[in-house]
Amino acid sequence: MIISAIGQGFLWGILGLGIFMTYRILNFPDMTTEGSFPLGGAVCVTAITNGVSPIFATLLGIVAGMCAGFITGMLYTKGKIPVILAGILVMSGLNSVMLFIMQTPNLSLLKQPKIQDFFTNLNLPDHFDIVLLGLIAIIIIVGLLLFFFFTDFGQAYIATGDNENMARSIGINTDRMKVIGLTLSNGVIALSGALIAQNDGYADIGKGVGVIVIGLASIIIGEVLYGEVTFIERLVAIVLGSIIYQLLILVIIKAGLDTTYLKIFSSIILALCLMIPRLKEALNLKTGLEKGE
Amino acid sequence: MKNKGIIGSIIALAVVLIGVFAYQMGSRQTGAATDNKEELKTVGILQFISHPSLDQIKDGVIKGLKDEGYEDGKNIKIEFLNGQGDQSKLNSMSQQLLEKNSDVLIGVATPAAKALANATSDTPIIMSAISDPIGAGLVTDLKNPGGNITGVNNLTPVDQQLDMAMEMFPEAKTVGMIYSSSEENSKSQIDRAEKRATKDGLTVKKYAISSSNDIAQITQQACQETDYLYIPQDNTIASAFQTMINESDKAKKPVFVSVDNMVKEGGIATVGQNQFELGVESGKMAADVLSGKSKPASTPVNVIDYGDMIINEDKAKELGITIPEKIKEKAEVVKGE
Amino acid sequence: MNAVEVKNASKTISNGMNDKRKILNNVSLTIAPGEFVTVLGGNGAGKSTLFNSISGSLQLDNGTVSVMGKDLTKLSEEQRATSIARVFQDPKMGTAPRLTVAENLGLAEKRGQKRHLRQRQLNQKKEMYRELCQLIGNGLENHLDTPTGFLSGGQRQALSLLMATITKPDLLLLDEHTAALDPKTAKQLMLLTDQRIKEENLTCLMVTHKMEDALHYGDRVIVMEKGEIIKDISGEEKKRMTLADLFLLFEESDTVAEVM
Repeated sequence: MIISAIGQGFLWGILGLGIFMTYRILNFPDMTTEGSFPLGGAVCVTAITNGVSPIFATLLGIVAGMCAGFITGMLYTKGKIPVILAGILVMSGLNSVMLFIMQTPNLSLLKQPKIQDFFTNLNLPDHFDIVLLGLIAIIIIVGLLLFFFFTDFGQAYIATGDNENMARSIGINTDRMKVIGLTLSNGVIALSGALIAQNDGYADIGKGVGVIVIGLASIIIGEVLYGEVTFIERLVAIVLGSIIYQLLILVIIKAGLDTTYLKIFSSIILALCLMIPRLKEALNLKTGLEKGE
Repeated sequence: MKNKGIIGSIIALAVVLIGVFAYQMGSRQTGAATDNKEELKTVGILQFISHPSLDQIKDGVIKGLKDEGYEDGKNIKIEFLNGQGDQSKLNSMSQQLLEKNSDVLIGVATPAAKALANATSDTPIIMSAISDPIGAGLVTDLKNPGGNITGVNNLTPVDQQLDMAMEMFPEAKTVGMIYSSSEENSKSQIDRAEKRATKDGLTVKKYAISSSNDIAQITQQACQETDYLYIPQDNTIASAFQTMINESDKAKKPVFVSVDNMVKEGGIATVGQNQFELGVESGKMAADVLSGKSKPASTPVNVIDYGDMIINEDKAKELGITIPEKIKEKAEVVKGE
Repeated sequence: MNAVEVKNASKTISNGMNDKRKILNNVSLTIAPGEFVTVLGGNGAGKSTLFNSISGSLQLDNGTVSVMGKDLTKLSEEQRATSIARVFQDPKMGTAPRLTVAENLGLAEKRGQKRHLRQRQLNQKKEMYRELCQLIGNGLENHLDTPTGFLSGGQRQALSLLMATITKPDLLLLDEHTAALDPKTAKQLMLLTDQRIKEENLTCLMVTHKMEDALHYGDRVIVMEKGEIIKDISGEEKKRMTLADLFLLFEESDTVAEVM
C-alpha cells in the first residue's frame, strides 16, 4: 500500500501545485478549488463514456477547470466581489453544472478506457501504473510551471502577488494577472481531478469536499520540512509534501485507528505542521525558515 | 537544487520505488505463489453507510453464510468495514480488504460494490442489494455477468407499489415524487415510477433535493401541489425522514415509501423487500463461491423484484384514509412509532 | 511641448459624515522638460492628492493631466506607468520583497512594455545591474541575488530609485522618498537622486517636508495650501532664496510646516 500512497501522492501533488499558484504566489485563497476539482473529473469521465479518448477527455477537463477559474477571476476583478466569496459562488454553481453534464451525481468508469491503461497494460507490479502516470504528469506540470514563472510574464505575475502596488506602478495590469492566475491554477486543479477520477474509477459531484485541506497540507508540509528554498525546490517540496501526507494517512489506517475519524486526524496533522515553526522557536532550534544574514 | 533535505527525500523515494519494483518482479520470476491453502478463508464485507436497512442486509449476509456452513471464527474470517458514507474511504477500504487476502468480497449498497469493483477484477465480488447493476456499470448482462461480479439485484417493486397506491388513493390525480439528486439509484427508481404512474393516468411532479437541508421546504411545496407523495429508496431522505413526515402530516398528505422501516416511522404504506432476507440470499451466493460451487462469471444475478405489502394503520387513521379490505387482508400491519 | 500639464484639476471627497472637502481646487500646473520641481506644503495641503492624480492612483472629478502631450486623464495607474515612474515614501512599497535585487531591476526594466512568454534574460543583465548598483555606493551590488525583503530601508529605497530611473521616464515622481530614512542615509539618497536626474536629464516632481532639500535641489519650488498652489518660485528668484525666505513663506500662510 506504500506504493499506492506514493502514486496517490503524485496525483494529489498536482492539486497542491495548482493551489500554490494562487494561495502562495498571488496571496489569496481560492475557494473555486472545491468545485473545479470534481468538475475536471466530471467532464473527463462524461467525455470518456461518450467515446472520447482518455487523453483528450483529460484535456477537456483541464479546459473546464480553466473556465471555472476565469469566471471567478471576472467576478473578483470586474465584479469587485471579494475573492473568497467569488470562489464560493462559483463552487456552489458548479454543483448544478456537474449534474447537468453527468446527468447523474455519480458516473462510473467501469469497463471504460482510462488514461492509465497504457501503464496498466504493461503488467507492472501493483500500483506502479499509477506511480508512473503520476510521475510523468508531475514532471510535465513542474516543467511547464518553471518555464512560465521564469518568463517576463511570469515574473510580472509573481510581482503582482508580492507587491501589488509596486507591480501596478511599473505598468503591470494586476487585475489581468489575477484572472490569468485563477484560470491557469484551476486548470491544473481540474487536471488532478480528472486523473484522480480515472484512478478511482468514477466521478462524483461530492468529490471536492475537503479537497482544499489536502492541497494546503501538501504545500505546508513541504514548507515546514524543507524551509524556504529556491523556486524549483519549492515546487518539488510541494510534491514531496503531498506524498508524505498520503503516507501519514496510511499510517493512521494501518495503526488500526478508527477510520471514521480520519478527517479530524488530517486536521490535527495539518495544524501541527503549521505550528512546528512556533514550537521550534520556543525550543530554540534552527529551522529552515529562519531568515538568513 | 541545493537543499539537502529535498535531495535526500527524492533519493529515499527512488530507493523505495525501485526496491519494491525489483522485489515484486523478482518474486514473479520465481513464481513464488505463497498460496497458503489455509483452512480459514477470508470474507471481506464493505458497507456503504450505517443505516437500518443496510445494517439488516449485512446481518442477513452473515446469516446466509452461516446457513451454508461458514461461520466467523470457525472456518472463515469476516473482515467488516464501514465507509461511513465517504466515497474516498471506500476506495482505501477496498484496498485494505484486498490486502487481507479476501477470498470473496461483498459490497453492501451500490457505492461499496462499485468501489470493490474498481479495486479488483479478479477477486469474486457479490453485490448485496444493488438496485441497478447494469446502470452502475457492474455487470453487462444479468443472466451472464461474465466478470468477477454477481449478486442480488433488488429491483424496487415499483409496479406493485403503484398498484397498491392506486387502490389506497383512488381519487388521487397528482403524485409528488421527491428524491435526492446526489443518489443515482433514486433517480433511476423515480424514472421507472414516473413511467408507470403516467401510464396509470396520474400527473407526476418530480422534486429533487440536493441535501437534507432542502427537505422541509420541498415537502411543503410538494404537499401543496399534489395529492400524495412517493419516496424511493434514498439514503438522504431516510436520514431526514422525520422532517418530511412533520411537513406531510401538517398538510395531511400521505407519504408512500419504498422501505419497510420508513413505514414504521410514519410512511403510510409500501411494498417492501425484507432487507434481512436480501442479505441472506447474498450470503448464500457468497458461500457458493467460497465452496467452489459457482463462479461469478457464470452465476446469473439474482433479481428480486417482488415484495410484501406493509401498511401503517395508525397513520391511515390519522390522515383519515380508509384502507381497502383487500389490502388489509394481505398486508402486514405495523404500528407507528 | 510641456513635460507635464495639469489643467483645472479638482477633487472633492466626503469624509463619511456628509461633510465634503475640496482637496484639490482647480489646480493648474505646467512643467517644462528637464525641470526639477519641489512641492512644499503642510499636512492636508493637497500634495499627495496632486501626486496621486498625476500617477493615476486617484481619478480627478474635473480637469486633465497630460504628460509629454499625451492625455492621461482617463488612463489607469498601470497604463500611465509607461510615462511616469514613482518612488514612494515607504521603502517597502517600491520593491517586491520575495524577489531578488536583480529580479526587481529586471521587472523595472520592462516598465511600460508588453511582457511576453519569453524567458527572462536575467543572467545576461547582471553585469549591467552590478554597475548600476555601484552608483549607490552602499554595497547593493553584492546583493543582486538577495530577496529585497532582507535589505535595510535605505537599500530598498535606493533600489526603488534605480528601478524608477532605469528606463528614462517622462516624469519622475518622488513622494517624500527620504522621509522614512535616517539623516545620513537620507542625505546619500538625495545626492544620488540629484545625480540620476542630472545624468538622465529627467523631469522631476518631488514632495518634501525638508526645507533644506527644497532649497538646495531643483530649479523651482511650489507651495500648496488647502488644495491650491499659492506660491510658485523659479529661476533666479529661486536661486537667491534662503532658508529664512522659505520660513517666511510659511509664516504668511496659516499652515504649520515641519522643519528639519
